[in-house]
Amino acid sequence: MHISISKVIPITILVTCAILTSTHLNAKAPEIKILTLDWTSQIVVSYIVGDLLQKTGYSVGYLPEAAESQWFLLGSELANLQVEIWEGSMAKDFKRLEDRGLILSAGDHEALTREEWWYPDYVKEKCPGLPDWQSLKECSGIFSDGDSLQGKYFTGPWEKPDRARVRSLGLSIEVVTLKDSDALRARLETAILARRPILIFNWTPNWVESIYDGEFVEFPVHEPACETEAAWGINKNLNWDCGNPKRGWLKKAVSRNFPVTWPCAFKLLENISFNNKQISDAAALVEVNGYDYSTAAKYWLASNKIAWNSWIAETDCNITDDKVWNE
Amino acid sequence: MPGKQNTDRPDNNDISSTREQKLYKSINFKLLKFILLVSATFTLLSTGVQLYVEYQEDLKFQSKRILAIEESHLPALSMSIWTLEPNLIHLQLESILSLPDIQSVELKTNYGESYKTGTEVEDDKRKTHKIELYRSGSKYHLGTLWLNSDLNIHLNRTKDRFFLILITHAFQTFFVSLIIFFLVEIIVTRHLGKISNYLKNLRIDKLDEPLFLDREKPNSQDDLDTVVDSVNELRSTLESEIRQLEVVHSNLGKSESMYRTLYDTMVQGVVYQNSDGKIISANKAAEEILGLSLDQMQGRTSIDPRWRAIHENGEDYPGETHPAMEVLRTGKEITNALMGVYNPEKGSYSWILVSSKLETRQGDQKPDQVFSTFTDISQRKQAEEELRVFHRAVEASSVMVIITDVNGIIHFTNPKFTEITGYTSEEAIGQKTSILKSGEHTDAFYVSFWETILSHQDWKGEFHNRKKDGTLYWGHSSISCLMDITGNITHFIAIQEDVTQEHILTDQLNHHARHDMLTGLINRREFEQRVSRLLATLQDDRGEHAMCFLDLDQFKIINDSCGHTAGDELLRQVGKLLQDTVRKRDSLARLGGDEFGILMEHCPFGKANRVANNILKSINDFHFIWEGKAFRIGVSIGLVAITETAGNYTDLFKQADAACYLAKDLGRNRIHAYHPEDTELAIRHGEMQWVGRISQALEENLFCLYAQPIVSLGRSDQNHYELLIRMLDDQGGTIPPGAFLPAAERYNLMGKLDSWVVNHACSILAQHPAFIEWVDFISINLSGPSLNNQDFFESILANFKENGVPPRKICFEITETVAIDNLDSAVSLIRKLKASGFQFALDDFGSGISSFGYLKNLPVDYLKIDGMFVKGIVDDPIDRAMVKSINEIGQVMGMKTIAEFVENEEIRGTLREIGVDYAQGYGIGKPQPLTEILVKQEEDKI
Repeated sequence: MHISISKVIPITILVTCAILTSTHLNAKAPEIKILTLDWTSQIVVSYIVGDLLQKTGYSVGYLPEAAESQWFLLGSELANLQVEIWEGSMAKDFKRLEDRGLILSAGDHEALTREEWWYPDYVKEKCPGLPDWQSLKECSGIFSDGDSLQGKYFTGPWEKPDRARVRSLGLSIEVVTLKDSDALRARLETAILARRPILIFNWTPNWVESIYDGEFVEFPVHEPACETEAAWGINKNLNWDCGNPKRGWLKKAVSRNFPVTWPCAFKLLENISFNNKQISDAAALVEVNGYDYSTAAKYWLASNKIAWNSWIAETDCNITDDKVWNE
Repeated sequence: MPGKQNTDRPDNNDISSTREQKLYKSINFKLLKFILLVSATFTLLSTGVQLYVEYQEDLKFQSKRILAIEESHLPALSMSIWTLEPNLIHLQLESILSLPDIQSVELKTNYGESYKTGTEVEDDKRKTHKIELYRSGSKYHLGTLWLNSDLNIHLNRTKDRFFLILITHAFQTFFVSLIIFFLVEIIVTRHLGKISNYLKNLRIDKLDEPLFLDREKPNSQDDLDTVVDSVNELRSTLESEIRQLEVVHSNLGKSESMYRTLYDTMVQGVVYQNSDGKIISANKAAEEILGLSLDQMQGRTSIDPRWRAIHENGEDYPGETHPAMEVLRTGKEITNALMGVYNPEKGSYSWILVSSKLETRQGDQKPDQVFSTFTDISQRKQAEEELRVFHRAVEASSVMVIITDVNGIIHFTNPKFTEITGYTSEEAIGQKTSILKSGEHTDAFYVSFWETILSHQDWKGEFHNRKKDGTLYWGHSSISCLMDITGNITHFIAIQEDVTQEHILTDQLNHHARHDMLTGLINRREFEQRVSRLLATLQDDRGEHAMCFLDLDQFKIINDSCGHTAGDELLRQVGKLLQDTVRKRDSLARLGGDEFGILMEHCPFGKANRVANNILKSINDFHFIWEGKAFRIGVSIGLVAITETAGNYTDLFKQADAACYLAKDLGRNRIHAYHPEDTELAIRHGEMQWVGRISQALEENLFCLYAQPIVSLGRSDQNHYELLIRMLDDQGGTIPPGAFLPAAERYNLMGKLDSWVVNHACSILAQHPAFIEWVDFISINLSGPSLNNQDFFESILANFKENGVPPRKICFEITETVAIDNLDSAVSLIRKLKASGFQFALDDFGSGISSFGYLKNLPVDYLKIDGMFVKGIVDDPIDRAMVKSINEIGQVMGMKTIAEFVENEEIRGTLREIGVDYAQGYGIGKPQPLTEILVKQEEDKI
C-alpha cells in the first residue's frame, strides 16, 4: 500500500493532536485509585495496568491495602480497581458484591488460577505416592522441622480452610500460618537449599513456578457442595474434605461508577488479559530478579509490547467522547 | 337593766366567739397549723428532690445504655459494614433496637446502603454516631448510625409518681394532725390552765397548800409532773426562805454586838469622821495612840490647830493634807500614810500608818463619812533606826563582812569585801561564796566547815581564797548563823580579815627550814617528812608511788679539780636540770653532797621508770662548762616502788640507797629498780655475808661432796655420777649451793671452790680404787674463772697424776654460758685436758638461744640438756621439740646427750622415746653424800 507524504502528514498531525488533546483531557479526570494488595503478582500487574492507563492519559494512584480491605474500598468507591480477583479465595465475596451492584467485573484474564498445597519435585523421592493426598497420611513425618515429629504445612495470612481440610481428611499435619508471603518464601528457599521436604501454600500463576519445579497436592476434586454439605465426600460428617478449585478464573473488578466515570479506561480494562506465563514472569521480575514493582512493570511493558499494544488498539473508545464527559 | 346585763353577761354569740378566739390561740391549734404547714412543705420538697434524683438517674441510665451500645455493638457493626454483610448488619440493628428506650435505629453505609428499623421519632431526639474503623493504620469512615430514644417515658412516669406521693402525704398529714390536736388538749392544755389558776391565787398564807392535777398518775413522771413539782418546790422554797429571813433578822442584832466588842478591843485605831471632817467616833485603841479621849476628839477636824503632826523628815504635817481630809477632797482611798502624831499623854510623837477611805452608810446615795484606821509603828521605827546605825558601822568596818543565806548565796557584802576580793557588791550578790574558792582546801575541809555552821555553831578558821584577779589571799574568818524564831537558820554572817601578809612571812620561814639554800630544792628533812606523810596515807589510799635516789658520778672529780665553787654551780645546774625533767607534782630534794631524792606520788612504777630514764638521758646529754672546759657527768639511780608493804621511811630509804648502790656497782650511770621480788638486790644483801662464810668454810674445810647418779636410758649399764658441793652449817646441816655459789661467783671465789672440789674428789676417789674401777666416770663442774687459770690447769693434771686417778674417769662440766663468755680459753682448756684423757660435758645446754652455732667449736663429749626444757617435755610440745632438736644435733655431732631435771617416769619414758642417752634428776636419784655412795658400792660388791 502506497501512501503519499502529503496525505500522511496531515493525518499524523491530526492523530497527534487528537492524542494530545485526549491525554490532556483525561489528565483532568479524577484519579483512578488502584488497589495494590499483599501478593507480588497483583502489585506488579497493578503497576503494569496503571502504566497503561497513564499511557492512555489517565491519572492513577496506588492504594496499598490488605486483601480483606478491598471489598469495602471498592464498594465505597474509595478504591476503583483491583486487577486480580482469584476465584479460589475471592469468588464468594466478589459475587456477593457484584449481585448487590456495589462492584462491577471488568472481565476475566486469560490465566487460569489454582491455589493449593505445593511441594518441590525432590520431595517425591521421600514420598513417592505424591501428588496423591493419601500418601500424606504415611509421609507426613518427613515434613517435620525438628521441633516435633508432626509434619508441618506453611501458609500465609490468607483465609483458607486448611485446618478444616486437615481435620476432615484425617491428616496428621500442623498448619503453620506465617506473617506474609516473604516469610513463606524464606521458608521455601531455605528448605530447597537444604533439599529438605517442605509443604507450603502456593498458587498459580506465581513467580515460584518460573524458577522451581514442583507440584500441587491432588486433593479430592472441589465441588461447591464440599463447602456446605457435610455428607458430601469421603468424610460424611465434615465439610472441606476436598481440595481448592482447579482452573479458577481470574477477574478484574472495578467500583460501580467506574464505567461512567472512566468509560475509555473501562474498555481498556476489559481488553487487558494476562495469561499464566505473563503473570508469573511479571512476579518473578520482583521476586527473582529483585526489581522494585515500578521497575518490574516497566521492564514487563518493554518486553510485552505486542500484547499491551493490542489491548490498547482494541479499545474502540472515542477520544472525543471523553472530551464531552470531561466538559 | 338590759344594757348592764349585756355588759356583765356575754351572750351566747360572745361566748362562742371567745371560745373560738381561745381555740385559735390555743397551743393545740398552733401545733396543728405548724404541723400542717411544715409537713406540707417537707412533703413537697422531699418528693420533688426524690423524683428529681430518680429522673436524673433514669437519664443517666439511658446515657449509659447508649454508651454501652457504642462500646458493645458498634465494633461488631463496624466489622459487618466493613465486610459488607447486610444480614449481619440487620441482625445487629435489631439487637440495638431491642434495648430499652431505643425506639428506632437507622444506618447509612458509606457505600450507599441504608438500613432502618423501629418507629419514627422526631429528629431532635436522635443521637448520631459516626461509624469508623481503623485498619492497617488508616481510619475509614464506614457510615452513620442514628439512635432514637424517647425521654417522655421517664418524664411522664415521674409526674405520675409526684401526684401520687403528694396526695398520700396530704391525707396522712391531715389525719395525724387532727389526732395530735385532741391528744394535746386532753394531755397538756387543760392541765396548764389549772396550773395557771393555782399560781394566780398563790398567797403567803396559802403556801402550805400544794398543787395537784386532776388526772391519773402516769407510770413515769412526765413534763407536767415536772412543772407541778417545780411549782411545789418553789412554794416550799419560798416558805423556807421566809423562815430563814426571820432567823437572820434575829442574828443581825447579835452580830452587831460582836462587832462593837471587836471595834473596842482591836489594836488598830479606828476613827469615823463625817463629811465635814469632824470626828464622830473613835475606838479605845485610837484614844490610846492619840492620847485623847473620845470626848476630846469628837467634833474636832484634822485641821484643828490642837493637832500636832509631823512628816518622817520632821517637817510639819498640815491638817489639810491629813489622809481623811485628802479622801474627802479627792474621793480616793489612801493607804499607809506615815505620820508622827504628838501624844499629849506620853509627851512624845507616836509614829502611825494611816489609811482612810470614804464610806457610804446603808440607805444613803452618797458617801457621808470617812473611815480611818491607824497602826502604831513607833517601835518599828526605832528598830529601823538602830539597824541603820548598825549598817553604817558594817559599811565602815575594817574587816570584810558577808551575809549569805543558808545555801551560801551572798546577800550582802561591805566595801571591805570589794577592797579585798576585787568583786563589787553587785557582782557578788546572788553568787555563791564558792566564787572565792581557790581549790587549795580539801573537800574534807569544806565538809567539816559546813557541818559546823549548819549545826548552829560558830566557825573560826582561815580560808585560802581566790580574788577576782585570780590571786590568792588568806582570810581569817569567823562565821555565825542567824536563826528565825523557830530556830531555823536563815542566814550566815561571815567576818573575815585579810591575813595574807602574816602567811607570807610564815611561809618564808617555813621555806628556809625546808629547802636547800644552794639549789633551792627541798632538803632532806622536808623530803623525809613528805615520804613519811605519804607512807602514812598508804593504808587508806592505795595509790601507786615511787622514790628515786640519785648519786652523781664524777662529781667528786669536778669538785676536787675545779673547786667548791664549780661543784656548787654544778649542783645548782643539775638541780635545775632535774627540776625540769621530773613531773611538776614530784618532790625533788637535795639530800646532801651530790645525792638527790625524788618522791613521785601517784606514779605507777612503769611511769616512774620512764621518768628515771628521762633523768638519766638528761644528765648524759648535759655538759657542765667551767672556765672554758666541758665536763660530762653521769648519775646512778636507785628506784623503789612505794607499796603498802613499804614499811617505814628508814626501810624505804635503805631500799633506795641499796638500789642506788647497786646501780653504781653494776657500772654506774644507770638505773636499778628495787622491788620486793628483785632477787638480785635481795641476794646482794645476803651475798656480803656469804663472802665471809665461804672464805671461812674453805679455811676450815666446811664443805662436803655429794653425788647424783646419771643413768643410761639405753641398753648400756653404765655408772655415772655428778659431784656436787655442799656447805656445812654450824649445826652440822648442809647448805645447798644455791645459797652461796652466787656470792662465790660475784666475789671471785669460784676458782677456789673448783680447786677444793677437784682436790677433794681426787683424794677421795684415790682412796676407793674399786669404785674408780666400777664407775664409768665422775662429772665435776668447772666455773668460768677456772678456765682462764693456767695454774688451775696444771694443778689438775698434777693432782690426778699424783693420786693415780685415771683422767678418763673424770668428765668436767662447763656451763654453756660460761663457755660462751670464755670461748677461746674454754676451747683451749678443753683441748688440753682432753688430750690428757679427760672428758668434757657442756652443761645447761639450751639456755643460750644461739647455742647451735658454736657447738661445732666446742669439742665436748656430752651435751647436758637444760632442765628447764626437760621438765615440761611431757605437756609442752615446744619443750619436747627443743629437747628433740638438741638431742638430734648432739647425736649428729657424735656427742652423748644427758637430760637434767628428770623428775618422774613419764619424763624418762618420753626421753627414751626421743632417744636421749642419759638421764639425771630427782626421778632417777637424789644427790647423796659421796661417802655414802662409796660405802654402799663397797657393800654391794662384798
